[in-house]
Order: sequence, then C-alpha cells, then structure tokens
Amino acid sequence: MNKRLFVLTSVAVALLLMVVACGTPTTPAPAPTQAPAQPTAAPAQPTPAPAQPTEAPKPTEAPAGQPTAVPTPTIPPPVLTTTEGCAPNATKIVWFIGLGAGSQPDDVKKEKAWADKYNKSQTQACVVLNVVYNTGSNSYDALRAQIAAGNPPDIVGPVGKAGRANFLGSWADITPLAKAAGFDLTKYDPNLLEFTKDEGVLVGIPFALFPSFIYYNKALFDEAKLPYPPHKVGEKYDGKDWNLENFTELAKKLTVDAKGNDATSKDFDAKNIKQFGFFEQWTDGRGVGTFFGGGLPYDPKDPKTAVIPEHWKAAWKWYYDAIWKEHFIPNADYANSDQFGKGNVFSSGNLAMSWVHTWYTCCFDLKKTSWDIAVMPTINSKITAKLHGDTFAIMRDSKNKELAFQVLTQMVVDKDLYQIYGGMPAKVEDRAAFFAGLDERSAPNKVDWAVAEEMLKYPDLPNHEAWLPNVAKAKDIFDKWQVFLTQTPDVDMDKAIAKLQADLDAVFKEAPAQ
Amino acid sequence: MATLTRLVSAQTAAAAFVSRRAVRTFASTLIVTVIGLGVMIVFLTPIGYMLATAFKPDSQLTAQNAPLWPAKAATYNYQGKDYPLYDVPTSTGIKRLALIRPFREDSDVFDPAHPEQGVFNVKGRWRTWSPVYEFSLTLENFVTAWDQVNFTLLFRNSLILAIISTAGTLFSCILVAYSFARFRIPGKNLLFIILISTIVLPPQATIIPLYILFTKLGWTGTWLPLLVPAFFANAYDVFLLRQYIMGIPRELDEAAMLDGANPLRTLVSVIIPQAIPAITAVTLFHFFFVWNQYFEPLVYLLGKEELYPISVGVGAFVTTFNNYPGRSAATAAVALLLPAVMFFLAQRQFMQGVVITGVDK
Amino acid sequence: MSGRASRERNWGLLMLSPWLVGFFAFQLLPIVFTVLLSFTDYHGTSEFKLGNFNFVGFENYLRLVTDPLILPTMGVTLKFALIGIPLGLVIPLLFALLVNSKHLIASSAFRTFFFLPTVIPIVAGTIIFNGVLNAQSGWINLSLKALGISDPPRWFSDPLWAGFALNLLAVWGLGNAMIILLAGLQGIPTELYEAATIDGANGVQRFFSITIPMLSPVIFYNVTIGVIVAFQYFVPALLIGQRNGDPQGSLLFFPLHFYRQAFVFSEMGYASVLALVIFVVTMISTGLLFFFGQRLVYYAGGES
Repeated sequence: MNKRLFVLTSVAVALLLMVVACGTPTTPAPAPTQAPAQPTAAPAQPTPAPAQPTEAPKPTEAPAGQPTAVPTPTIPPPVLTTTEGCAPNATKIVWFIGLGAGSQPDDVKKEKAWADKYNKSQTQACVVLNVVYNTGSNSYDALRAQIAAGNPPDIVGPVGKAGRANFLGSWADITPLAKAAGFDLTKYDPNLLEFTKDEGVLVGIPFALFPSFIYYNKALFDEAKLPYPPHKVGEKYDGKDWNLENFTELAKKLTVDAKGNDATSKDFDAKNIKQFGFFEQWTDGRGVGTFFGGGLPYDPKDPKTAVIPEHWKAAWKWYYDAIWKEHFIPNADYANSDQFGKGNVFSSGNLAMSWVHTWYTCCFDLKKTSWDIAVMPTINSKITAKLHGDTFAIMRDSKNKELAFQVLTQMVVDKDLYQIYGGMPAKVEDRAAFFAGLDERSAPNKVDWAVAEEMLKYPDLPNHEAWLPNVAKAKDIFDKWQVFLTQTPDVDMDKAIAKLQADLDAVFKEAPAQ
Repeated sequence: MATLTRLVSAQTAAAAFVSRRAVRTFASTLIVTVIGLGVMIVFLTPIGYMLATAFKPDSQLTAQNAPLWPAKAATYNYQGKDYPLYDVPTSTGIKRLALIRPFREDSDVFDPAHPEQGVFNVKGRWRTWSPVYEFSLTLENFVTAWDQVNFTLLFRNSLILAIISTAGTLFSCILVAYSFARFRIPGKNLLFIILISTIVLPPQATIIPLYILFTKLGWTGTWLPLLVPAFFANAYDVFLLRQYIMGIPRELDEAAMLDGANPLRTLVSVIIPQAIPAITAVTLFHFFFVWNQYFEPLVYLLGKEELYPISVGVGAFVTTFNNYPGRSAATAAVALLLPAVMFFLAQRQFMQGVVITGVDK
Repeated sequence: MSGRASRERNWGLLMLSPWLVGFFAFQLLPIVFTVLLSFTDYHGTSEFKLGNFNFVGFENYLRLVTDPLILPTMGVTLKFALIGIPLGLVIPLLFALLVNSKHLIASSAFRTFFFLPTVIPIVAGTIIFNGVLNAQSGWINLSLKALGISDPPRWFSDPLWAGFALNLLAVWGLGNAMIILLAGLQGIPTELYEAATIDGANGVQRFFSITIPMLSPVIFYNVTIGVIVAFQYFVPALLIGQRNGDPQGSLLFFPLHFYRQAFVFSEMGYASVLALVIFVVTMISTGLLFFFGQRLVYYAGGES
C-alpha cells in the first residue's frame, strides 16, 4: 500500500501545486480576493460596499487548524477605495507616491480626494494610488521590484532630482508625449524646463517651485529682545548689514544653554544646549555648500575631474565650526534628540532660525508656532536661496503613457495638489490663491509670503541638485559628507575635503562615457 | 522526664528544620525574583520610553526641564490664556509664579497668590527656575491613533494571515522535520544542506525574482504570495523541529511501531505529544514572524490598502516619529497590545508542557 | 534494498514532499535567478527580460578583486557576528533558565515581557532604540550620567560604538531564542535530575552534565541560525545610517553593501555576485558547524 500511497500523494501534491499556480481559488490557501489576475485589467467590479470594518466578518470567524478546511468568506470583496468614481471602462492609471513628499498620512487623504475628484470628472482614466511611506528606502525598493517585473506604475511623483537619480533611465521623455497631445511646452520658462531635465531628457512638466528662505521663531527673538530678521533684500538688521558676520553673531545670541548663557558668553556650556540659533534642515553636502552660493563639484570642461568650488569649501568650514566650535548649529546628537524634534528641529520650538524650502510647511504646527519667514543673508556679496522643483514623471515602461500624460497635464495645474505639497505654482497667476491657502492653515500667524516670491529671484545656479557624472554614487558621497560633518568632532577639514574630492573624482571617473 | 525532654527537643528540631527549609526557599525565591526584576527593568527601558512618549503631549518632549515621565505642565489662567507655573527663588523664599513673558535676564510674571500685584518683572533667568509638573497620562495620542488607523480591519487581516500561514507552516514543517529526524533516505544530509541553503540568501536578494514570479502568476495584489509558500515548509522551522525530535528517545516511537502503528500514527500519537514545547515555540515563532513581516506584504499588496496587515498599515504612522512622536509611539503601542496578550495566553502552553511530559525541574 | 528500508524511504520522501515541491516552486528560483544575474549587466531600471541585459561572463566577479569596500564591510559584519553570536547564545539561555525557575514569582509575566521586544516590528524597534540611545536625550545616557559617567558613549554617532549598539538591539530581540531554549528545557525528563541528585551532584554539576547536553540540539540550532542571521544582518543599520552605513561606514555591513549596489546604484549584476558571496560564506560556516559542531550535540534519539 505504501508505494501506491506515496505515488498517489505525490501526484496529488503536484496537482495541488499546479492548481495553486493557476490561481484557482480551490487551493489549500484561500484566494483572498477574486481580483483580476492581470494587474493592468480594468477594475470593472460592480462597486461593492466599502470595506467598513463593521460590515466585515468578525475575526472570530477566522479559521484555525486544518488548512484544507479553510473557507474563503472571511475576506472582504476587493474594493479599490480610490476607484469608486471611475467610469466603467476607464483605463487604470497607477500613481506611485513615495519618492518625495506626499506619503504622510495626512497628505494621502488629500491625494485620494484628488483622485476621486479627477476620476469622476472624466471617463477615460481611473487614477489609482500606490502609496509607500519611505522607511529606510522601502518605497525605492518597491518601485524597483515593480519595474523589474514589467509592472511599473504610470505616474510617479512628486519626485525631485535626487529621487529620480536612483532610477535614471526609467523615465519617459515628455517631449514627444506633449507633441502628440498638442500640449504647448513653450509657455514655460526655458530655465524651468531645463531644470526639469535629467541628462537632457525632459522628464516632467514643471509643476511647483520650492524656494528656500529662513523660517524664524518669533517667540525666541522676543525672549532675547532681538529684532526680527529682514524681510526684504537690502534691508539692514539692527542697523547692520544682513551679511554672514552679523548673521553668525545673531545665531550665536540665539543659542542658549541650560543656565541661560548664550553662545557668545564665555560661561556657555556646549554640553547642555537648550536652544539653537540656526539649522540647515534636511539637506545634503551640496545643499550645505550652496549656503555660500551655487556651484558644481567638477570641472565643467572635464566632468570626470572633481573640482570642489572654493566657496563650498568655505561654506563647509563655516558650517563645521558653527557646529563644533561655536555651537550655534546642532550636531547630529542634538538634532536627533527628543528636545529638538528628532531631526525636525524647527518644529521643536527650540530653534530660532531654519533654512529650508516652502515644502517645510508640511511638517510643523503652522498655527501654534509663532513664526514668519526672512530673506537669506548676503554672503560674499551675493544672495543664494537654493531651489527645489519637484514634478510628476511618467515611467518609460508604462503601458499607457499617452493617457498618463493626459492625467499629468491636469495634475500640474491643480490648486489642491499645490497645497498638499507646499509648492509655489510655476504659473505666477496661481500664486495668490496658493498663499491664501497657506495663510488659512497658518492663522493667527500672518506670514510675509513676499519673502518667498523674492527669494525665488535668487536661485542657486547651478542648482544643488544638478546633474552629476555617476549621479547615484556621487549623490551618495554628498549625503554621507553632511552626516559626517554633523557627527564627527575634531576633523581636520582641509584633509577631509581633500579626501572627499578624491572620492568624488574616483566616482566621476567611473561614470559611463557620455 | 528525660524522654519528654528528648521528645520536645526532637520536635523543635523538626520545626526548625521545616522553617529553615521554608526560609531557604523563600530566600532563593526572593533573590531570583529580584534579579529577574532588575534585568527586566533594564530590558524594558526602550518599551518604557515608548509608552512614556505615547502618554505625553508632544510639547513635553521638547519642553525644557520637563520630567521624563508623562506629566502635565501646571498652568495658571491669566486673562483667558494659560501660562506655565514655575517655582521661582526670591528673596522671600521660593514662590510659585506664572511666567507671562520670558526674557533672558528678567521675566514678566504673575503671582496667583497675590493677584493684586498684577504682572510684574523679576530679575533672574527663567531657564534656571523649575517648571511645575503634575503626573498625568495624556490619552490624546491614542485617540488620534485610533481615529487615523483602521485597527479593526488591520488586526483582522493580520490575524487571518498569521493563522492560515502558521497552520500551513505547522502542517508542512512537522511532516518534513519528522522525516529528516527519523527516516533513512538516501542523500538526506545533502537534502538537509540544500534546505538550509534556501534561507542563506539575504531576503532582499530574493524579493525581486519572487516578485517577478508572483506578478507572472497574477498573485500580486492578493494574499497568495504571503500564504501559499507557508504550506511548503521553511528551513527555520523544519530545522528547529528536527533538532527537537532528534532529542526524543527513539524507544518511544519504536514501541509504537512494534504495535503496528504506521509512521503517520506514530507521528500523531508519539512524536507530536512529546514535541509540544517545540511546536508551541514554532507556532509563536512563525505567528509573530508573519505578524511583523513588513516588506513582503508591502510590495505584494501595494495599492490594496484593504488587504494590508497591521505591520504595513501602521508603518506610515509609526515612522513619522520626528513629526508626531506621541502619535507614532501610541500607534506602535496599540499595535503591540494584541500580540502581547496573545503571547501571554499562548506561553501558558509551556506550563502545560510541564504537565504532559511529567517534567518538573 | 530490503523491503523495510524501501518502505522507510518512501514514507520519508512522502513526508518530505511538501518541502521538495516548495523548493522547486518557490525556493530554488531566487538562487538560480541570482546566479543568472551575476553573469549579466542587468540594470534595475527596466523590466527584467531578454534584450534589457547582456551576458558579460565573469566581469562582475572580477570586480570583487578591485572593490575596496569588500574587506571593510566584511569586517563590520564579522565584528557584529563575533560579538553577537556568543551574546545571542548566552543571554537567551540565562533568560530561559530564569523564566523556567520555580523560584521566580509570576514567571508568566516575565516570559511575556522578555518576549515583548520580539513582537515589536523591526522598524518600530529600531526607531525606539535610536531614541533610547540618543546621546543627549536617550534614557540610557541620562541614566549613565545620573550614575556619574560624565561622557557616556555617543552610540549611533560614534563609529566606535555604533556596531555594538546594534548588538544590543539584536540582544533585545532575542525572545525567539529564549522560547526555543525554554522549549528545550521543558523536554528534559525530570528523572535525570532526580537520579543525578541522588548521586550527589550539585546544581552546577547538574547544569553541565544534564541541562547542557540535553539542550545541545536546540543550542546547536540557535548557533546555526545565529550565524545565518548575523551574516544577513543589516536592516536596522539601513534605518539608522540612512543607507550609507553612517557613522563613517561603521554600519556598512556586507549585506548593506550588496543592498546598496542593487537598490541604490541599480547594479544588479554585481549585487548578485555580492549576494552569492554572502551565500557561499554562510554555507561554508554552516557546513563547518555541521561538520565539527554536530559531534558536540547529544541526540537522545540517536543519529539517524
């Protein structure tokens, strides 16, 4: 009997496996959904009841014990919450969110609302969200798996240059899509278009601009009985020029230890700092260098040779001394501590001035904090407000590029989306409405948004996120560099910078030929 | 008389003996428990930190000189606004004053005990004064977490996934482990090494081929990629069960075999009862493995939020730690509650294991 | 082959079949795929299909020789393993003995609390640990300062301490190992202890002559799995060092190096070579363990 039993069972198991492989629901494991096998198939389900937990079967009905006896009905019918308003034959357009802003739980609600609104407004496309909150780099990994399986999303965004660099070559060229759709790209500022190109390929329609400026905490200035920083370029601060020297002095006065000594005092205790004067929030090595002006880390005539601009070196040394000698910028330990908001330093209320972009309106209490914004100081007789310009991109392997482009043209002009991402509309006439929306969120604070408009006139040229040879690796080096500066005491900066340049040079030389 | 004396002294000796034994037992219990408590306090510091964060308003984390335990800053309402109270050293002793407007070297304060004085200025640095805090548990973070996260759905999804997957794992792994432990099969050692080799590649190296496979099968967007492989055994659990079964004396199953039981009967009637502690361990092991699995469900279920397990469903909330530490910690704490209770109930099995095998150390 | 032997073989294979099927269905593919990729120049930015990659022979393997990060990253992983494996053996054993002790009051609660960290998802656990070990506000350093240590370690900012901090995190999540040892302790027949006590063995003697040998199968399991896990370890490092192995490469574990090649730099071919290095090194270590370690293990059921 045994041999027969063995053969029979083996056959049974093999059959079982084949059945499983074909996805029929008569498997030892229940088929969780009757979802269409093809991920790209239109979601043509008759809209079932939404998956309200109250209507769903109780978990007590969940089976235990024998796997073969497991019934299927414990699982809700497939409901794509964002496809409720879709037309019956609409083509699914997957919008992937997670490489930049937009995956915060509060944002996702608004994005879903946008997709619903859009889906109801037309019959061709059905926008479905794929949202990954980026932990470690899960969102990047998930996107990569989708690409490798030939199952990529159609639209990705918002995404900046840094996020796109990890998938260089995966993006669709927008120019032919725009031409085919009769979309006029010439109405955009050529500089802006240039800014939206990766290695010469236009990868998105300019959407939002994120100039940077100084966010300042008014309460902390009041406490120190110091006047607020200037809101206009050329304005004096306390009768003095708004330059690096006076900016540094101010930041030191706004840095206070537990006993109430500020960083200009000789009694100042650097091990017990309770308030910092300045922070360059969430940027990399290039961003830190750009405080002193835009630049490129290579020789423009020979991109394979790393040459670090002198003013970047100066900016890094200033930054390093500010952290470890003058103590008015928090080091990594302080910045990541509970008292300083675990890295979100301005939100803690213990930071006087933070240099960051308009998108930072995402991440602190706009109402409770008493805040306003100020212009950048003049450094080496020029003003630099580094600029971000995120966009939405289409994946090269998307199966519905033309339709995705249609959706894209609607996204880049949508007032609601500007609000979600805190991006100034690329189109000037939309800005008043944008700022009015921010004012509503910030009340009772009255923020001087003219500062943001003015800082847009002083972008970093070349941009701190500009193209680099071997971009993923080069960017990696600049990420590490910033962390290194904030984590490491007693660094010989000249030596460290020389090493950085050598590392960059090696990476640039590795770059594939153009 | 002498007899009596002897009797009494014998009695005392017996009593002394009994009490000495009781004292010794009591002493070892005390020592072991105290050591255990000490270790546990150190060990649970991170969880204490998490809970403290969850029960604090976020403002307490960033406030200066705030206590580490959850507390509420005592305030005084002056003209419709709340101001924090500080114990301020003055020439006439320590006074409890409301800090109306802080400055570096002096501050505007208000004395609730002497409202007639109005707001007045005192010299001295407010940062050196001690703020007044009262112990208080803030539930706000939990309320927000509960409102934002559909815990019912997520818990249910995770439970279903974990139960089915664990059932499949137990079923397949017990069979396979029994086979590896007890049967003479040609090339068994090689097979066992191959089995081990399947868990040696880093999971990140396997995710792309598996994702491609499951996409081609049309399984992405369903639970199948998370459930089906569980029915085909895995090296971690097979290896563990094999080790345990190999530790069970052979006489027991040989006796059953001699009685005419076939191997399956032997497995059910002899091996499984003997291996209950190990099976319990594997059950817990695998159950919580599925419970905490993060990246796989994330990738396979992308966009299907109604199918997310708790690990993925709370991911975005737990990791926004720098924006909303309290809410994030509260979410993590709620997500932890159910598995903790389940473990507490399940580990009683280890006590029962003692009864079944008659082992009492 | 005798009838009995072939009968035994058939039964054995039958019961093995779930795994054999699963091996060919799910477990073999990733290994074959990785080997295949290691001979290609597939760049993870397009669909994996013919035409999107070329076979490049042993080119990726040759890169191993010139890669300056091989040795340092191996060093990080080895250091972690050399500290982590012994800790992962001894501490769970002590915990298991503690919660198995009849002298412990409320041992159920102790079991639950020692296991609790294991139930916390690794992402949340790492974030919490990062908070607890923060040099300024972390509870550990606040306690150390309260004990009079004025300059406690800067843990995750200091390359000297960061690796060890992750060892602590790993120890924190050792509930599984504790449970496995606890199960092992439950399986030791009481008669053995009784007999030994009658023979006059004291507690320490009983521990080394009975408990350890009887536990040796599961100890062997814990060591083997400990080795495999240690050679794969890097996810918390990824969360703490922002994919870069910060501080200063001290958390650049070998598998993180692999991960960066694959998922940050899109060099799937070379990444596969690195994955295979992990595979080979781990298999060799496991093989050595089986070859030498197995002899130290006492199986009451005998070797089969």
